[in-house]
This record gives sequence, structure tokens and C-alpha cells, in this order.
Amino acid sequence: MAKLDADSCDLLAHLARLSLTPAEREVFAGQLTDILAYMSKLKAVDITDVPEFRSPAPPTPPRADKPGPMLERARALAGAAHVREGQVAVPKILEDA
Amino acid sequence: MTDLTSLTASQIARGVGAGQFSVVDVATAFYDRCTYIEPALHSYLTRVPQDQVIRAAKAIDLARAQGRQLGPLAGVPVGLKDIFVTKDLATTCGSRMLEGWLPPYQGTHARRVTEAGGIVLGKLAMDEFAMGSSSENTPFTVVQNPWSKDHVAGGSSGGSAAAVSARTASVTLGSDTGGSIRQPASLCGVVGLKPTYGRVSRAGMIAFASSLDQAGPLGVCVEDVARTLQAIAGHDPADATSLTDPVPDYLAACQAPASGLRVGVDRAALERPGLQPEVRRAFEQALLVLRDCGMTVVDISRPHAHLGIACYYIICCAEAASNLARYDGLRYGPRHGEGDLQEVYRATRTAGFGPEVKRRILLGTHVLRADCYEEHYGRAMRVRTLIADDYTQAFATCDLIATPTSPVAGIARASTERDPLELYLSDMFTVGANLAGLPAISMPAGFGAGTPGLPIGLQLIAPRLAEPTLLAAAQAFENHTTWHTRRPPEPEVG
Repeated sequence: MAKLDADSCDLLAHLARLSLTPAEREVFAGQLTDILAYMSKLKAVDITDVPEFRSPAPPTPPRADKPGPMLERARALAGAAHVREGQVAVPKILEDA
Repeated sequence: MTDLTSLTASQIARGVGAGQFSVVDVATAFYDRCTYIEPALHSYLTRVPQDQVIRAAKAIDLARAQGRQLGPLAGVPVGLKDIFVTKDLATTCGSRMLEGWLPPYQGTHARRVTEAGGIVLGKLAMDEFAMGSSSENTPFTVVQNPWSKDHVAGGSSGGSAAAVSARTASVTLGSDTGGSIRQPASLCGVVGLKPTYGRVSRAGMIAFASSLDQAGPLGVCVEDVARTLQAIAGHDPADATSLTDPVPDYLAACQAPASGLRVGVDRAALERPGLQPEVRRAFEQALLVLRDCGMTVVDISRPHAHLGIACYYIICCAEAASNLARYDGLRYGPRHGEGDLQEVYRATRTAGFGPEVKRRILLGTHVLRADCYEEHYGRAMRVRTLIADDYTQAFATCDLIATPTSPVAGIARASTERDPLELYLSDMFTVGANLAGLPAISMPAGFGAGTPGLPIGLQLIAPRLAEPTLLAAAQAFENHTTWHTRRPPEPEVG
């Protein structure tokens, strides 16, 4: 049976860019272990030669590649918490040259 | 004078078209009712201001006065689950992550409802990012079940179902990823329809699990959901998965004969633990009604149906973990944290997401890890094929499949934190239609024996794009029953 301990939960939280308190780690570890135990029933299924699910719907045609109206910059930026010089401002990710 | 909020959407649209009453009168009646009972019901997260509601109503009255053709929702007050993007109207998806966000564009659903003559009253309560079956997974006030303040309205479209039931909206839109339209419809005693995957656009519907999500209508009767589906169905260039198939006349389908249809029942599914005896009894009674309608009930087998919950929760959590990666606090929504970019991501997502969303993101992240992918996600996607094939084989011998919608007649409000797996299992009858992309409807089919007696729902599932068959059978069932005419008690206000 798959078991997730608190350290595994921490790793998942790191990958998902979340922070967990020690109490959350314990609770989530227990719950996820229970859920994965339930899901392990899928292991008993013979999936030999069974393909992954694909929608039976035929592919839809792509949109015509032609210019059209776009969201105005001011409208697009209106929801951002930090804006500078008409762009979304974020913490620096590159060191100065 | 008739209480306009007691009318069906179809009666409103016809009355408006015939000039029996004005749209302003209708909109005012619903607006005032909302103002009166919302403090007790909490079906809305955001309401459209009264002057805007009246302005929209006057525009439809003017269109009628000028002799212009009116749409199928002419003058019908509509509530939208808060998952639907509405320009300049707060859209939170039930989450602190989007609190205060005013979308810069109108989603397809709000636009089509408005173009069909609907009057949008506001945005309805839901589980955060549509993850839940009780509408309790939210930092905001939990919507009440109109039938019992001690019970939840279901979820995740709990506000959409409660609003229809309590008449704070005439019809509503919800989203259904694993039963989120049908289960709350069942628990609140209204009709809810999940269309075929792709029948309704997903553009402007905030993504949870993209291969499963589908928008659909809720109403007090089959004709109301058919009318609303008519307004929102059809290809949308903004959604590459929306279908190009022509949209049938759904209102005409409601009048089509249902006699002779074969209804399949998987008896083994009724023996699974968790199905309440009173729900089982109501379901057996519903089968007798379908027979009275001239339909034939036949036994079918779906050998992989019991794997649905395990398969569904792996896939939906995987897709949710991917979809919700976009919430980084940079382009919209609140931003938290100081320091480097990674810290902003972590602080924003930690503050913005609630426990159930975090749980599903963690689970989804786990099943998508390179060393776990084949064991969990890859296997679930193969089992999904088997589940879908079960439906294909069943529909070789029947036209529709009947099941209970919810295995229980009511879910009590949680006094402590719920066991998440226990609540997941309550989706046992609904997830299959999402996994296979099939249309399904829930309609009132009885009440529990307790006090108060809580609504029980019948689910019918149809082959892909067979909404007309589904509606014909549902309308026939409704014509032979009176469950849909029962109304909940007035909420205790004050």
C-alpha cells in the first residue's frame, strides 16, 4: 500500500509551491495515505492492451488565423497586484550584469 | 396578483412575450425576494446592483415593445455559479485566491445568457474551485439547503441549486466535473442537467479538471433546463473542445414521445455500500413510473462502474494540480509574500487556497510525479477507457441508464472536519457520466422519510449528444409525477 509520510507531503508541497504547517503535514499525510489506499483498487484491473482514454469527439477545426480585437493593456493589467511602466512587476529573478 | 417568482422560466418567457407582465416587474420581484431571504439562505456570493438589474430588464421590455425577436430566456432572472467569468462583476470561484477580482472580459456563458434575454442577478455560492460535494469548502458563508438549515445544499454548485429551489433565481448555471450540477440538484429537489462534454463551451468557466468539466443548467422543471441549454449550447471558437455538431431544438425534444425507450439498470450498482434504503425505495418507485410512461426497464451490466470514484479522483486531482498552477499572485488576485519570486508563489498559494484545494493539489502532484505517473495517472486513464467502454456496450441494449443521483437523501452540515474520502464516495453514481463525457440529468423523484423529508433525485444518463432523448424521457417522468411541484418552506429570516 502506498504510504505518504509527513516528509513526502513536504516534498509534494514544495513541488506545488505550497507551505504546510507541521499540523497540516500530519493531517494531509494521513488523509492522502487513506485516499491512495482506496485508489489502489485500480491495481487489480487488467489493463493489458487497454489504451489511455481519448475523447470520442472529432477534432474541432482551428480558428482562422486572422487579427482580431485583443484585451487592452490597461484592462489586462487592472487585476495585477503590482504594475510598473505598463507591465506586471515581479521580484527580480536575474542578477544585475 | 401572481407571485412572479413562483413561475417557471418558461412561463416567464412566454408571459413576457405575450405582454402579460413586464420584465421590470419580474426582475423586481426576484430582486426583492433575494433581498428578503438571502440573509438566511446565502445562495449568492455577489449580487448585481438593483439599478443594473432594472436597466437590463428595461432593455428586454424595449425590445419587445419594438417588436424585436426575443430569445429563449427573455426576461428570465438567471443566477450564475461564481465559476463563470463575468466582466466587471466579482468572480471568486469561491476562493480567497480570486477575492476582489473583476474580470476584464465576459465569458461565453454570461454572454449567451444575456443574448438570450436572461437577466443576470448575480454569482452563486460554491465549493472553492468546484472541489467538493457540500459547498462547505469555502472561506465564505456556506449556502443553506432550502429544505433544512441543518443540511447542506450539496456541491459544488450548491448555490445554483439552492437559488432555484428557494426562487432567488428562476434558472441558474452550474458546472459539473463529477456530479456538481446533479448532486446539489438532487439534494435541493430541482432539475439539473450535465450536457455531453463539449456541448457547452468551457471558455470563461474557470478550469478545475479540463477533460471532465462541463457547464449546464438547473431549473424547477425539465422544460426550464431545456430552454436554458438551448441558450448556452453550441460551438464556441474560444474553446477548442466545444463541439461543432448542430444544436437540436431541445424544447421540441421535451414534447417528443418517450414510450418505447429502453431504460437500463445496473442492479449490481444498487448493492454497493452507502446507498440509503429510502433512496433505493424511491429509485425502485421511479422505475415503475418510467414503465407507466411506456418505457421498458432492462438489466444492464457495467463491470467497471465500481472503479469510478478511484479513477475519477486520480484524474481530476491531476488535472487540478496542473490547472491551478496558474494561480501565482502575479497577474490577478491578491499577492502575498516578500522576497524572491518563489517565496511570492508559496505565500500567495498558501494564503489563497483552502484545505480541500491544497489536498487535491498535493494528491494531483503525487500521481503526476515521474515515478508515480504510470502507477496512478496512466493506469487511471486506461481504466477510464474501460468505464467508457462499459457505457458503449450498455447502450447497445438500452437508450438510457437510470441510477439514483445521490446515494443519500441529505447531508448534514459538518460540525467537525469531514473525512474527505467519505464525501468523495457520495459521488458514486455521478462520476461515470463525466469520465465517459455523457449527458445526464437529475430530477426530483421522492422525499426521505425523516423530518424534514429531504429530496431524492433520479438520474438518467444518455449516449453522447442524446440530450433530446434524455429530455423526452425526463419530461415524460415529470408529467407522471408531482415531486417537482413541491416547494421548500420559507427560510427563517431575521
